[in-house]
Amino acid sequence: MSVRSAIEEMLREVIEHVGLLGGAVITSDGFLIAHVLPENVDGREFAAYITRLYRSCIRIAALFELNFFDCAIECEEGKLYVAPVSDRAFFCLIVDPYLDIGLLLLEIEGFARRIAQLLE
Amino acid sequence: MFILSRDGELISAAGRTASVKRAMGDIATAISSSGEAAEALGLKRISYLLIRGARSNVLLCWREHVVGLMEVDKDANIGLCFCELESGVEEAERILGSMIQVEIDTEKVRETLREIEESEVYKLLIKSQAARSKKRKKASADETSD
Repeated sequence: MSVRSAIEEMLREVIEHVGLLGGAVITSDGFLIAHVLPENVDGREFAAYITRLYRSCIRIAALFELNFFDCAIECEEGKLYVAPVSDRAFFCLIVDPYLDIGLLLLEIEGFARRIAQLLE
Repeated sequence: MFILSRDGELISAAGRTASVKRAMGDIATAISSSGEAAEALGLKRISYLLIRGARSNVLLCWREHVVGLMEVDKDANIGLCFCELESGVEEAERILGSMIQVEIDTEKVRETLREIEESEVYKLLIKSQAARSKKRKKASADETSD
């Protein structure tokens, strides 16, 4: 099984287990590694936008000396949760508006670590 | 809490102003890319962007002309902080938005001035002003010669 397929399978597992709307694993320079996104979403376009957001959030965090952990966009119809996997990659999860981010964090503990191991 | 205009002007500041000024470009990028990413997924109105750190968090929310930024303690209630930030942003947007809407139509002003200059009343007014000025000058010259 390729690394891409293995990560995609892990993504599917998390999405089904937690009840997410989709997700993607992207390299820090914007390449899509694996994704499980709604059919009408252009994965590469989405990866490009989310990478720009991720990088600007890292820079804002550095200017405020926050020691960057993760970032989230809250919309009326859902949330986007973005967090690093390693120095070279990050993941983005599309979260149901009614799902609590705190609970999500508990559920996905270990998810990032497993992806990082696969990418090594 | 900070209120910034979307074109990078600091409107109101309470906190680390230097960090906000340096972060302006990245704030603009974060806002535009949040919108694009959300739109790509079919998500519409963004309530806020939260950047979490090990030490503290940064909360951002924005409207058409105004951006609000709040540096929030790690243990603070984000929901409450957002309510406060949003009300500040809404108020600043209302004030700034109404200021921006009052734009002066320079072409219309020029046209009105042209109409005034060409009117007979205006010509008569200029003539009488010139006559009064001539009279004043003559009176002043007579006083000097006396």
